Amino acid sequence: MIKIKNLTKGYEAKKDVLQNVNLEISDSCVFGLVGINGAGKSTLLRLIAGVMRAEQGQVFVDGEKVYENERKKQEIFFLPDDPFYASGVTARTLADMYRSVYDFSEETFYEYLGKFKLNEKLPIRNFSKGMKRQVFVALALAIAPKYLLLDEAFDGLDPLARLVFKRGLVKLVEEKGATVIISSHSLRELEDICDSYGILDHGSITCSGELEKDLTKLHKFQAAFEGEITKEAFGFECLSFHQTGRVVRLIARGDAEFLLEQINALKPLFVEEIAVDFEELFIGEVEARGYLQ
Amino acid sequence: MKKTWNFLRFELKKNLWAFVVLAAVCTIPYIAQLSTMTMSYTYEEWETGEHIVRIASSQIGTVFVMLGVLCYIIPILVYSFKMSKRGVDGYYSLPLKKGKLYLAKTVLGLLLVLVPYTVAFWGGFLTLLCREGNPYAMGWYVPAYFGGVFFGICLFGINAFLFTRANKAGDGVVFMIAYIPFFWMLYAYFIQVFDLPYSYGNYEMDLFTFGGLIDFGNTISYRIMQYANRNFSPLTFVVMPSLGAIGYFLLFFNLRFEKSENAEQVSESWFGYKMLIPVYTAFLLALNSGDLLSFCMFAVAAIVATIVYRGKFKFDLKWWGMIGGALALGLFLGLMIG
Repeated sequence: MIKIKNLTKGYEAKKDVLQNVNLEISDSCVFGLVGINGAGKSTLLRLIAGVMRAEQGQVFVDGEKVYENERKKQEIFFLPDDPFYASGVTARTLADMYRSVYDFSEETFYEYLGKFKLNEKLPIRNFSKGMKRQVFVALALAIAPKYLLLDEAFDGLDPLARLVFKRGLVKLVEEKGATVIISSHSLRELEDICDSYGILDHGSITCSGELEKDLTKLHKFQAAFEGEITKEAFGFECLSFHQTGRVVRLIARGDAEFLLEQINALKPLFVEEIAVDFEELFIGEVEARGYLQ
Repeated sequence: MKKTWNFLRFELKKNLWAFVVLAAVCTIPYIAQLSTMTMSYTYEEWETGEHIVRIASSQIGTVFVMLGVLCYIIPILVYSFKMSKRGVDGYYSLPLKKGKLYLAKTVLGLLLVLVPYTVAFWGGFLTLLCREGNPYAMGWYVPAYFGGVFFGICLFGINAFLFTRANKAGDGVVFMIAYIPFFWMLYAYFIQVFDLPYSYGNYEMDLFTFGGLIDFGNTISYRIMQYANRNFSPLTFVVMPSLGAIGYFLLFFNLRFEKSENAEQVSESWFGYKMLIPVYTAFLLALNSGDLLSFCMFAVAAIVATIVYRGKFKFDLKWWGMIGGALALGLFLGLMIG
């Protein structure tokens, strides 16, 4: 289990990247870490990976501090958004490097290199962005760590590679009981595989929980009215409100029947409830905090 | 330690070609030089008309120069990972403590310096042995080799520490170069204050960061040429080994204070620009004081250096205070010279 307690981190240029972050991530789950650009997702992942030291607070993995903890870091693999490789390095060289410090499955590595149709002997610098990502995905899955941290996990991957990757992650969680933390802006991809999520906003976790459960707490309605109608006309707080002519789409939190009663009280021409997805949950949350208005 | 050893083994394997290329680059020109050089020459004594045979230099200095150059290049290759955000993410996320990671990198760096040196040195030795009429005292090559190894290790330690004070590779190179005459400059001021001759004690060479290596190379070269009229300076085995030991100690000791997020940021180390700019400004001004022109020149140089250091034209009052303070100190130190 990953437990983050009162974590604070700042840089010279930006003092308040993370402020008093508290979060618990249970074992054997896929956790989606989302937030707008500059919210502090990469910094949080680096702190969990033990790359950085926190100014205040701590990251505990299975009850142990991570920073400079070689034994605990053995169970963690961090794949940053722009992973490091030296000039002229091949996939084989990287595999050798990770094999020198991690338990490494050559079989899994070659299985995924085969799936992605990558040549292990070519210098990585000649690969496209997506192919580079595929090499590191193959390495991550070959290491099969207990905790896998992925920053901008799907960035650059084509739909087929994304599918292979997601299946690999699910297999890792199911077979090895791994915990995967994924930061991504592809919320539809995250929704496919995430059990739980956390929204990072202005350096703090503003919302977290089980994804499926939280999605049922939100309700999205589409309704048409005779004339234009304002957000304030509804007797409840809208997390998201969009109006196109006489058609209104809104997302609100609360009891579905109560919300429907309130909408019906405004005498709509029609009203229907639509399923809410992760992206809408995220947008609803960040809009409620004053962004993207 | 098993993981450290595994990681080092990986690094050695990865750098196999670097070893081969560096060894070739050092050995081929050195052997070519030794194969074609004149080993002795005859000149006519102008008073007596007697023909005297003199032994020419064994050119052992070439291999020491190569060793010295490697001690400046290899720290850049080995430690520059910590100056990129990607490198920091890649290496610091590995399940190795920073101390062990740096130990592996330092051993790799030392081997990248010493293996090409060793190949070139003994390649040169064999070349000389094969030459007919070799006039050199070849027995001195054994202490010469180990002396080179010793001073190479010292210089690598000094440069490894200086280079890793920077957050950008370019700054690291500046630090390594800027410290070369740093102690010599302080010494030059000292001998001016006390009105001592420039060559007082013949210490000046030892005070350069690579001075011990050069002084050792020169002295051993004389021994190889069978001239006994030059001895080691007492500081040869003091200054550079001390600086090397301090360099290694601080390289590892400072890891606990290092912030990985500083990669690619302005280099704020107290061993870097923060000290170099005011100290150089003050002492160079003191050594060249006396007219308004030199004052203006050093003031402008200090401002330009601060602009380069901060990476912007506009900087806080404290930096102006630092420049002003350094100039004032320079004037004061200049007055001490008189």
